[in-house]
Parts: sequence; structure tokens; C-alpha cells
Amino acid sequence: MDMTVLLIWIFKILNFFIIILTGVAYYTLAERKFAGFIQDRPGPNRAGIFGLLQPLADGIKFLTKEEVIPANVSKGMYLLAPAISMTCAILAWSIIPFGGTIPLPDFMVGILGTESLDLQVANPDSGILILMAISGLAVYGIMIAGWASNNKYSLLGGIRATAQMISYEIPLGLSLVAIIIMTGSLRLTDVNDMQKGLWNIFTPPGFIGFFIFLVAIFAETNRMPFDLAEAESELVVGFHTEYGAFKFALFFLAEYMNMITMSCITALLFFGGYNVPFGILEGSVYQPILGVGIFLVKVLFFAFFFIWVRWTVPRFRYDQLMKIGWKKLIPWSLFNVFLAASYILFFKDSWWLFFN
Amino acid sequence: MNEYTIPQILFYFFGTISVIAALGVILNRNPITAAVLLVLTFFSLSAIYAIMGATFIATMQILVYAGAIMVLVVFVLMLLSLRTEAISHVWEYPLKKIYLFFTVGILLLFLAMGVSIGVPHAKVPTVGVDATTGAYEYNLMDVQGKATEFSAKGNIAVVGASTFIDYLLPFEMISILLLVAVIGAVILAKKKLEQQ
Repeated sequence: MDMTVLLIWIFKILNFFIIILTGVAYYTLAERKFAGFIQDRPGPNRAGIFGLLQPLADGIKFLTKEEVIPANVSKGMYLLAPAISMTCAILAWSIIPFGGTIPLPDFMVGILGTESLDLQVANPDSGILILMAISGLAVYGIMIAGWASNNKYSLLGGIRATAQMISYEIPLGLSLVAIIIMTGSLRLTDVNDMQKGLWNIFTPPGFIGFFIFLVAIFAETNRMPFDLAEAESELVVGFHTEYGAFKFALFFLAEYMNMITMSCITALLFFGGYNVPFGILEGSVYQPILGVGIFLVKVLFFAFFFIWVRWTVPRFRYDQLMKIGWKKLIPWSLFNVFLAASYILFFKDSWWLFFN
Repeated sequence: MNEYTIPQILFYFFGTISVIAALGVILNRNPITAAVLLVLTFFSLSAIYAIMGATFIATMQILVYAGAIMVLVVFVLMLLSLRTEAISHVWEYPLKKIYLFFTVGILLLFLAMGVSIGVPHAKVPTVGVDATTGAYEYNLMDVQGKATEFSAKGNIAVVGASTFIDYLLPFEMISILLLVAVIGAVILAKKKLEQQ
């Protein structure tokens, strides 16, 4: 194995790790600030200017608290659960492309021995399938946490979360099938390149698929209005009732990390990814860098959208949640797959002419 | 001192994990721990597939077995309130157990011998898949009898092409079998209204 390739991998992995950890820390602050804005109060504003040091203060507090392990838990599983949650949340970031091939500045060329860098750790053939697999594994963390805590509220929360995530994986997968049919490839960079002329959201199957996908990701990440797993008025806080100190922080960070991941996937699959619209800087070496900026703006919008929905919409009832998932979203997404197939066969060219 | 390549080291690593985890599935007395160890076994198997370059099968292994089937198994295990299984009745019929162990062991030994000596067995014809490049070349006759060149690159494209061109009939038969199984499961799980 070439040393340069290894060095580039280590460089990319370390950078993504630092970026996502910082991003998540400030996402939690953003959530509290926007919550304050929506409820007409200042939000956290004591640590640093505008409360900007709040994530650091939270981190120190989580680390210095006593690690309590309750008496009747099954210890191995109890400690394994937050680790599984966090691992799955980080793992998804290994295949998300953040931009095309960007040129490196001169001093980096000397260190890394390459002149350009793909902003993606791995680009496997089956990118979307791997994302689905990782999001399917995230349920283990919640399930094992609920079971291992030996607490009725935790168990109920775990069971609710499991049933919900299994149910909503089906419409999520089917809405992705429509995108796969339109792309003809599972590679995430191919999905992005295909949207160079027209974003998926402006095509009929992409438009329907987006709303199905949006509802499904709220359920997958256990967020309002589908956060029945931790409905605090019914279940204390659900599956992580028995977790304290840094073990709780791991669940907390994993949830926010999943939200950022899902925002990235939404921007990538439906909103044109890192393509630069209107041919700005066409042919220039700086276009990919502008593309990264455009991608980040889209991701930040969807990250904000998660917060916006949480503090606006009330929680669903559990039977309503199941009814929406099985009786509305799955038939609609099956119809959407059919629509995508007929779109690609019969009226794709005329639709593209209409927009270009 | 033998020289090991990176794939070999990885294979021994994941192979050891999968064997230990599989033994743990059988020997562990706690059903949930056993189920989680089974997930670990699936993971190491999928890693071995990935080492061989079959990334699609590796992904499907995790997506289907670890992500779907085992989630349901653990879910059901959680709903039943299970106590730790008593290990005492493992040694109830020692003669029977030894007899069974012996038979399975002999069969496995024959299998291993067959693999290592090279017993000729029915080989699946690999139509048109180039094993070294992973590309799929196929000459397809269209409706007018004109030959059309067809080539697919990449793991998924190869699996898709060979499923829907070479092995279309077996694939459809499996689909019908699955449909029958689904209908059977629905009928078994359905409430019997006339008996209430």
C-alpha cells in the first residue's frame, strides 16, 4: 500500500472527525438558542459572548460528573449501548461526499504529496445501500439501552423506538429507490453529478419522494413530532432514563449527529448536492470550493429545519404515527417508485427541456 | 517467518472474531447476549466478504441480517420476559450428544477434505463475468435477432445483470416462493373472526 494514500486517508478521517464533533457541539447550542428565540426568551447566554462557550462548559460538566452504574443493570450491555449509538452516528460520515475534487494550497502539497483532494473518505459502489445499512444499525443502541437498563420506562421507550424505526425504514428505503432509478447508480457522487442540470426536487418523482423522505427521517432520528421514544410526559425520557454523565452525552451527541447526517443526505439526494447553480465560475479551479460552500448552506438550512419543526409542531400519538407510516407513506412511496420508472422511460427528456 | 499481506492479516482477524462470536452464540446462557453476539458474527462475515471485494454482498449481509432480521429477533426477545436459561439439561443424554457430535464432526471433516483435496463437484457456469476486473460482458439478442453488446462495470451492476439476464427464471421462482410464504404468514397471523 502506498504511503501517500494512507497519509491522505488519515488526514481526511481526522479532519472529518474534528469537523463533525465541533459541528455537533455547536448544533446543540443552536438548538437551544433557536428554542429561546421561538419561545421569546434569550436562551443560554452566560458562558462567553452570546453563550458561544456553552458547548465547552457542557462538555466539561459531562466529563467531570460521577459515572453512576445502577445496581440491577446487565453491565456489559448497559455500557455497550451508548458506544453502538455513537459508532453508527460517526460511521455514516465516512461515505458522505462534501464536495468534488478541490485543489490544495502549496504548503499542503508538500506534506501530503498530492495536488488535489476528494472531499470524501470512501466512495464505494453501493453508497446509498451502506447509508441504509448504517441507519438500520442505529436502532441497536436504543434497543439495547432500553433493555439493559432494567427499567420499565426505558424498556417501553426502547420498544417504541424500535417499532418506529423498523416501520419508517420502509418508506425511507422506497423513496431512495425512486432516486436510484432516476440516477441509475447507487454511488453518491453519481447521484450528485446527475443533478447538474436539474435538481431532483424539481422532477415529479423527486418532489413526492422528498416529502416521504422528510417525514421518514424525522421518525428515524426520533425527533419531534415523532419522538415517542422519549416522550417526557409519559416515559420520563425513555430509553436513556438510567444513563448519566458522559454515557448520556454519547446518546445526546449521537442524536444530533444523526440529524446532521440526515441533513447532508437530504441536500445531496434532492437539492443538488455540491453542484454550483447557473454555471458560476465554470471551468475555474475555485468552482469546487464554491460548491462545498453551497452544500454547507443547504445542510445548515435542513439542520435548522429540524430545530424549527421541533419547537413548532406538537407530538403525534403512537397509533397515529403507525397509521401514517404504514397506511399513507408506504402506498405513496410505492406509487412514487412506479412514477419514477415511467418518468425515466417516457417523459424525462421533455421535462428537462422544459427547465433548460 | 512468513510474509503476510494486509488482506490475509485482516482475514485471520475477522475469521477469529467470527468463530469466537459464533461459539459465544451457542454457549451463552443469556438470550439477548447471544443475539448480539450473532450480530457480531454477521459483521465479521460481512468484513470477510468485503476483503474478497464483494462489497455489495457485504452490504446486503449487514442490511438484511443485522439490520432487519436480527432487529426483529432481539425485539421479540425483549418483549418476552426471559430468565437465564438453565444449563443443566445440556448433559441429560450424554450418549446421544456424543453420537450427534461425532456424526457432524465426520461430515465436516469430509467437507474440509473435499475442499482441500479438490473433489470435482458441479460448478456453476459463470457466464460472461470477468472475475479479475468485475466487468460483465454479455451478448444479448434483441427482438430482431440483432446482437447488442452489453457490459456492466462495478459490483452492483454485475450482480444485477447476472440476476436479471442469466438467472432470471430461478430469481422469479424464488420470488413466487417468497410470495407464497408471505401469504401463508398473513393467513396464520390473521384473527379468526368466526370463532369469536
